[in-house]
Amino acid sequence: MSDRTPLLSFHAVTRHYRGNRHAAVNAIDLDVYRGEIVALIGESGSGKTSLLRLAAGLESPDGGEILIDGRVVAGGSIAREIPPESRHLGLVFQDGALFPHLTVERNVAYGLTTKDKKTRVDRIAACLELVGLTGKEKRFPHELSGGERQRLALARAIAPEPKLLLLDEPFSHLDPALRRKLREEIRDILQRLGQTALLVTHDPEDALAIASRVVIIDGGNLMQTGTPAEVYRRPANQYCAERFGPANRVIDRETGEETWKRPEDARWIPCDVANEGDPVVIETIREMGAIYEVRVSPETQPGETWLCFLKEGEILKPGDHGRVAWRGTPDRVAWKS
Amino acid sequence: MKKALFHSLLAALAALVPCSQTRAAEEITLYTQRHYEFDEAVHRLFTEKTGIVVKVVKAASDELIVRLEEEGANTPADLYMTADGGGLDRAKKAGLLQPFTSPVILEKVPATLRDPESQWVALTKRARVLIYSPARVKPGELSTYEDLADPKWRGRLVARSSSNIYNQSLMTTVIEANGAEAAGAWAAAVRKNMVRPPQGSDRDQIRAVSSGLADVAIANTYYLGLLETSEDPKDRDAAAAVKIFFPNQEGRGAHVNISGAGIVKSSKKAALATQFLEFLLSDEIQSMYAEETMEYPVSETAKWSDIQLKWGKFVADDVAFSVLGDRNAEAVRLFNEAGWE
Amino acid sequence: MAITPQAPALPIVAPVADRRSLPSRWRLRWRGDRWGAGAALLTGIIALPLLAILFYLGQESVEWNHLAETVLVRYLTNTLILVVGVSLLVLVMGVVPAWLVTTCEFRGRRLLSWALILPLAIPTYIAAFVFYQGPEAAIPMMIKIRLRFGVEAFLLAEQVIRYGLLIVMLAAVLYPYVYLACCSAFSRQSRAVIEAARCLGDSPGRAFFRAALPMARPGIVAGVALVIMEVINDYGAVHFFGVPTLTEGIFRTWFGMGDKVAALRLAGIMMLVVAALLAVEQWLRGRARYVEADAGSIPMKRLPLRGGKAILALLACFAPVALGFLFPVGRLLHWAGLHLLSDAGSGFPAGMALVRGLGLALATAFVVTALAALFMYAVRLRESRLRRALGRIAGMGYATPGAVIAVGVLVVFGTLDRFELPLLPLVSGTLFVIAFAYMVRFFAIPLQFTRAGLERIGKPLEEASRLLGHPPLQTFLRVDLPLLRAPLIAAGMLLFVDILKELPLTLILRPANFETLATTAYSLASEARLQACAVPALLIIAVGAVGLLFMNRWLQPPLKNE
Repeated sequence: MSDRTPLLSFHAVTRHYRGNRHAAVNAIDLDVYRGEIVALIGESGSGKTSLLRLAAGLESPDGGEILIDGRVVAGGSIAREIPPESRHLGLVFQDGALFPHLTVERNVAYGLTTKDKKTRVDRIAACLELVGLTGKEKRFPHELSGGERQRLALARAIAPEPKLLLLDEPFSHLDPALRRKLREEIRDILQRLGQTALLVTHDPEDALAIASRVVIIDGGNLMQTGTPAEVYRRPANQYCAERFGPANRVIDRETGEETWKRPEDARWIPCDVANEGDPVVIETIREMGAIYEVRVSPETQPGETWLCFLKEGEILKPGDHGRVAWRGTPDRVAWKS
Repeated sequence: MKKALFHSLLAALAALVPCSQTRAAEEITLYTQRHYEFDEAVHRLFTEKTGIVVKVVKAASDELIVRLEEEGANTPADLYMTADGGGLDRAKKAGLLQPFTSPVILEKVPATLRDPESQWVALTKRARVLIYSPARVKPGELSTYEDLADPKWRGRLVARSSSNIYNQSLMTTVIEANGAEAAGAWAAAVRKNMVRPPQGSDRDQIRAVSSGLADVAIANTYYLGLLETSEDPKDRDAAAAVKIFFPNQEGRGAHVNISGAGIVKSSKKAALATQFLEFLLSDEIQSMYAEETMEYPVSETAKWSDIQLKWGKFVADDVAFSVLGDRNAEAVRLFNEAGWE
Repeated sequence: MAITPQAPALPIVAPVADRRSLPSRWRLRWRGDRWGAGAALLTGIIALPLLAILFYLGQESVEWNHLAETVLVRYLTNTLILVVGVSLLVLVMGVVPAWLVTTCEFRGRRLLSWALILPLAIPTYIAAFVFYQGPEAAIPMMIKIRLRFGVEAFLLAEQVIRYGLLIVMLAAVLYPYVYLACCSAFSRQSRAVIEAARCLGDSPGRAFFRAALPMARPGIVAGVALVIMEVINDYGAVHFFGVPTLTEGIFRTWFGMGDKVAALRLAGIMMLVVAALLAVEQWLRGRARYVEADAGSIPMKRLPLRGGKAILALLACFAPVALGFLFPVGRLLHWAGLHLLSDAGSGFPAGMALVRGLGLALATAFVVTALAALFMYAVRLRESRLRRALGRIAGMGYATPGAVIAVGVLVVFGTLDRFELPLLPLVSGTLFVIAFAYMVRFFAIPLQFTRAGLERIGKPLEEASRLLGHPPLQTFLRVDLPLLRAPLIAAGMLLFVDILKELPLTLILRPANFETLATTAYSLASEARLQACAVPALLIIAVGAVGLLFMNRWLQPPLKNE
């Protein structure tokens, strides 16, 4: 699926802001391979945006080095950093950062270097068609809707055919419905183009829906990387687990290992049926449409609570004893919002 | 709109070009403190007569000295002209002037009105006098500058700020005549007699007298002349309500300051500059000064104007003008101590 | 324009091996190294005259102790009285009309909204001549006071009238700085915040004091800071009114006592005062970012006023215009009429010289604005304490009296000329010198406008352009410059008007046969020829007013909305 040399690599990259005790980015190693769509996910202030800006050349690393196509563009051993304009990357900004004084088509044309008029016109038309803005060439950014603006930002970023597309929280200013629609559109576009991309988001849905690989960052440190299914089903720690919604800490009875289980993977086993799973007592039950949100306290982990989504809620009541077992990790992501 | 702006800028730049033009056949550059419209007419007359163009920079005398010092040998200036004798003396002491050699000047101008080493020469005289209201000041009440310190003038005097060079020059002569201590006491007493804190110009002092606020003002004579010939009828009425008194006529005489000029040391056009000075000292121009700016001519043979004749002849203090230059700082210090703002 | 981008012309991707050997720490980072060096160089050049002045400060002063014992306290108190009085008055005269004009709708609003900036076209030294008519007109009343209540009451009344009038006069011609700053602050405030205040139970008036005013604070402070600097720097008006301030002390000590060092120490005190003010302003601005609504928010809808309220609003907006513009212009027109009707008003002096003066002002305004825009862009390219300091140093000239700058410039060029560099023509006494001095004096104005403009454009647009392959210079030309058009034109016009009004610096540095309207007006006025002086004074005001109106037009939002 990918070449040998990564398209973008961070080697022990560190970034320190003045006045902060902790590094915003702390000796991070990360490779992005051709054709991948990598999502960086973390809380605000976790260093994910800094990492993206370091890749773009909008900030300089204080340590380590950054390579694009196997060549150093910034960091320790290089005399002069390669400036952003020479890195051949595209960036879709959080709020679009569209040029308010240029029309839609001139925004798209901004990054095109070819002098040939025909090529330019064709390229602009192709990009606008790709994002569904055909017919709005002459409008100004403020005459577009929020979703159209982000699509224009995408068109502008991909027009010069960047090696790597960077997306910085591209949906954060949109309402949920539009967000979901645009997210899918953009995923389709990126897949159709085979575009390598690095997406920064704090929204797990973005990451799971678009990315082929997810990277979780906390406090400037890399916590876990893996496919969406891996990071969802087998989080490395509590922080990683909580990125994607509620998770229950379950201590494996045999190995004593910490694992995290999703509420929808819980199975209810009445006491008398089998010796499978862990013994629990039901605390509260809330009906949530088709399923029931059931909070139970595991007898093996006193003082903790597990959240389980159970279909059998109607026959249960607080105080009931029973057992909870967990389904194995499926291959497919089953996250629903 | 953008085009229009751009074009107007081009036009503006084009307007600057003539400044850097090569020098005309013959011209002299004059650094002057005198800012009178009439002076420009005189310069034009000179050009008509001789073909020599006079280029002018106008600023305060000491600012011009700073500029001459900083420009050094590269200065474009040929002549330095002031409206105050002290400035000429300071320029001389700063080594900025060169002596002129002109029998015409030596003959025309009395020795007291030119530098002993011929580094500068006076062009006009102006008298700093007392302007009073004949309605409220009894004849015989006025006598000397020193008398203004008398308590009988409490609340009856007006004068302008001591930042003004005319007041500073007057003060140097008082110091010269009576000593620093007496002069300081004098300034404090005069300040105490003032009806209001010093403010405005000489013209405003005269108006204060004519409007009845004060009885006596210290002012230069030609300001009264300017009011008398003003376009504004209110100014003419103000002038009509006051009279001139020349103080110290029994003693050293009324304080007279000069407007004068010297040739700049690094000037390579001393001959042209001398020609210009001689022209200014000709009776024709001297009489025009008396008529137009109402300054007194330095040439004994020049005619006074009717207004000046009406004011009358007077005895002038013939203190050396180097005193004005030497004692200026002392004068300001005494003003500061006396509280005369 | 054939400007080829020169900024980092780098190989697109550098082979790793070639670069390995270079010790990176010894090299400047790519970003803005040339820009930073350029900005530092420009700052150095601008600071040179100020440094030349500072050089004198360390020397022995003969008169300093004397000054400290006699007049220093008076200079300081007078300066302080004027600063406080004028600041308070401009707050009322600037903030109230700005609020009414931006948030209310009443008859005459549009006309007044631009008429309110016109007093800026009137130089203080000219306004002083006109307003001094006040104390003169009050003389009969003063005489009555003296007769009835005695000398003490009279002196008190005289003080009050004179100081009061001076303060009113200065405020009347300077309040537009506050007005302009407030208009832009109020019009950028989000409707939502004010509506929130209303919903929380505030009347429109209370909402103004509790929400709008605190939010506009940085803008107001910036405007008042400009006013204070003008007040501190004023020379003609305070002299005329007999209220000696630090500036008058500087001239008196320098030229009257010949003590450069003591005079410069006074200037030093003045600059300290201003530097402290600037520091406060900077601090307030630094926090202001969190206070101001973002540019995209819904603009305020104007509240229509009717009846008595409309009349009151109209009066509140008309009064400053009447006092700061109509009254002085009316008096000057009267005098000019007297002058032109009499036979003395035949010729107008120095016609061609005046054209050159105008040309110089326009060209200097253009070049200095362009330089300031590039400079500010360089400073912001990579924000650091050092670069922000550069910006502050380059703007210091605004806090320095014109005459002091003039002398600093003379020292610098005099020294240069003395070396007689083979390639450098003699520059002393040329227009270049005076243009340079204007730049030193007024660099802060376009700097402020550019900074505000760039802040509003925001970093992301520049970053987007960089990532789309355009190096800094191209980014500046293609993104920032078009978006800065309005603030730059506004800055250029304000600069033009300020240069046109400038007096002491122009007097000292102008080349031979060079007149500006200001110098012409000044020489006639110092001859006590008020009537003749009215003509050039009116011309300054006319040209300045046209410039200001032009500026105001461009300050309107640049993009036409649907």
